[in-house]
Amino acid sequence: MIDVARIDHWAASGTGFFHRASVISKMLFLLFVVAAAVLARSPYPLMAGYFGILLVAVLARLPWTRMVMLSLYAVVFALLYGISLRGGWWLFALLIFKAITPSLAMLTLIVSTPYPKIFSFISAALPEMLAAGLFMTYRTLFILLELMDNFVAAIRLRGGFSPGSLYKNSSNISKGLGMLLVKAVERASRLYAVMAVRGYNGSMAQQGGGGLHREDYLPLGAGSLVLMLAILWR
Amino acid sequence: MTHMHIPDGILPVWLWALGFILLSLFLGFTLHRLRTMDMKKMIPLLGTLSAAMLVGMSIPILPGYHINLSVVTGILIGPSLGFVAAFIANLILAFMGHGGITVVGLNTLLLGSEAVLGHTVFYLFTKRLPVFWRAALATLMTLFITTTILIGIVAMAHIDPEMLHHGEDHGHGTTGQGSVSTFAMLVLTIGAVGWIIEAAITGAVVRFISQVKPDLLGHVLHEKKTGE
Amino acid sequence: MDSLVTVSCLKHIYPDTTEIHMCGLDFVVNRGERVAILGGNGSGKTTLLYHVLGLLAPDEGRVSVFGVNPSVQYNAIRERIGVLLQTVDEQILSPTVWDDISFSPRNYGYKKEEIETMVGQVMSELGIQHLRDKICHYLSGGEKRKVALAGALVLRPELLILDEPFEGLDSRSRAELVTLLNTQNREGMTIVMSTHDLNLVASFADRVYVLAKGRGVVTAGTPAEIFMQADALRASNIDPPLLTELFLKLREHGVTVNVPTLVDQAVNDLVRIIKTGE
Repeated sequence: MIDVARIDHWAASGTGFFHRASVISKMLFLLFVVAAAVLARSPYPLMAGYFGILLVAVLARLPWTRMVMLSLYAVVFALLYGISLRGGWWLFALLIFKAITPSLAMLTLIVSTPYPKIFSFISAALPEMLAAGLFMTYRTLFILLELMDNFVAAIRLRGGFSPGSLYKNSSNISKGLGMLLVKAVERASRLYAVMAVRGYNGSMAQQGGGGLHREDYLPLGAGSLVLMLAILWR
Repeated sequence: MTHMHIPDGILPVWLWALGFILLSLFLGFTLHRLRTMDMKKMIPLLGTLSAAMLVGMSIPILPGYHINLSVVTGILIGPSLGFVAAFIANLILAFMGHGGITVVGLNTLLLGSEAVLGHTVFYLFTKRLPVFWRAALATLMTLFITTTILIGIVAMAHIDPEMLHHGEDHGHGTTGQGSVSTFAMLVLTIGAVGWIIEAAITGAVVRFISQVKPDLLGHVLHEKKTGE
Repeated sequence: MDSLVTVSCLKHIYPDTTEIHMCGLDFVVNRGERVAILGGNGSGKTTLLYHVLGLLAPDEGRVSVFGVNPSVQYNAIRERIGVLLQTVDEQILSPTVWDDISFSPRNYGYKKEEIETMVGQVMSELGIQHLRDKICHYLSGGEKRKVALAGALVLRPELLILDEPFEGLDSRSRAELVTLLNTQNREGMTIVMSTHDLNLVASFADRVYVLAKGRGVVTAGTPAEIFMQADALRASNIDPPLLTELFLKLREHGVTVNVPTLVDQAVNDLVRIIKTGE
């Protein structure tokens, strides 16, 4: 899994103009780029879009080198799919840029926008149970990741991991995972008590994305440009 | 593990749109089934088990292969909550850059199916098999079925006439007639090794739970009660 | 006196068949009091508090909070009660600080403007205005505790319940928390707290209840009265404060001396002894 803690930290601690742009403008930016990837029939506009977004990331002082590396994960399936289609270089180029351009746009969103703001925006369109579940998952994820890290450290310190011993390593990891699940369920029952005592009645966090900001011209402009290129270059 | 790391823009529009339509129907049905359950009980379970699924996915058991605890989740919290947990986990994965946002529907259908099928098969063999083998068998059967569905999805994706037409127009060397056999071969080969390991790990995890907290395997967590 | 909480002869059986019997003295909290619950591990402190909060229903015995059975009618009284639980990470539910402090008022249907005012006030009192938009899991332990406390105080409850609030705090943070709680109490809030820390009990509590495993409340009184009962404390797996032990030993050696609960009192007594030679 992508290093969620690091992404979360980048999003929460940045102060550049992309960080200051509103959630709604950045979500629209993502939507435009995804639409461009869907509609594109040539790799060239998506290639231009990829490098354009990269330029924005550099200017906004986002962690662009890491973002480029993470965006390339999307190449794997694109290649597999291309192999299955038995296509030529054109098809491969198209599939790769269809994969990495929206991937880079997503990364631009998540490294510049804290997850609570993204979820607040999405949750306005979801039933309360799903919205609350989303917030609760986010809240719990880091706690469980830390718990799992502690289990793995304990297993390692007590000699539970041996290079090459798949059976032993899997067996010990299973115990760690089993304990993780038991702890997760116990935590759920305590959270139930807390929600009861604190009077939960359908509102876990603020919903909605707030209004538009002055800095929104950049994400909106960048996204619109990529989409227009994809439409015009058909 | 059948979470598709398919990026946006690859699959044809009609296919992922269909995924969203089916997801909406299944989610609507599931939420309707859960309407009498106390929200204060449901939400923590969803949050913690969805988070546990995500944590499980962070542990690679083979290079490029991760387990996702979807079967265990289904066993613990039942098929309805398990399906919802799968949706939440997939949505968060999409917003972490793992798989495109347009394939959340299809991914949820796959992962959610694992929770539902896993639960069903596990409790089908109650009293006939020891816990480890029930969970392992449930995982093996579930992963085989959902991987087959995944191959089917990719096969359906090849039936996109527009893609084929434009490919031929540009004359850039596409045959216009893809084959899923290579994809299927790769996925089934790597997948089969992964299934066995994931089945063993799932069996061990469920056995551990049965030893430490056996009451968790008794449908206790997803009993429906009316709220306050 | 106006008693807000009364617990009599409680018996509770947990799902894993563990039984908790608390049939000693009644546990009573009067309006305006600062009450401390002392007891060793497994003595039932948290069980007692959970019954007061209506999270557990007694299998036998009686629990009354604001005149109602909290396990049946908690909704009728919940806005009058604030809670700070032992594990702060489990009390913080929402992603950001503002979201979490405003959790209860939002769910109780307060208007947006009222919520802003209430949250702003409590953040100001606790000095955490700068944390407003911060994401909770990045806060330090002390900051999380303040956020959780803010969430408990935001509705100005009549009764504040704290489960081991000083665990993991350094001495300065403990002193700050005691000062804050005493301020709230002077403004009319009734406070119930479970703790292991006898030294803090001396500077905080009006009344102390001591629990023992399997026996419930074994003794109750002011801190000075309780600290004199060294044997009862030890039977409950609690060591008397060092100050108390020192002065009890002085008495055993024939020195005429009071047994102080606070350092200042002890200094006065020792100075008198040294100056008078007695």
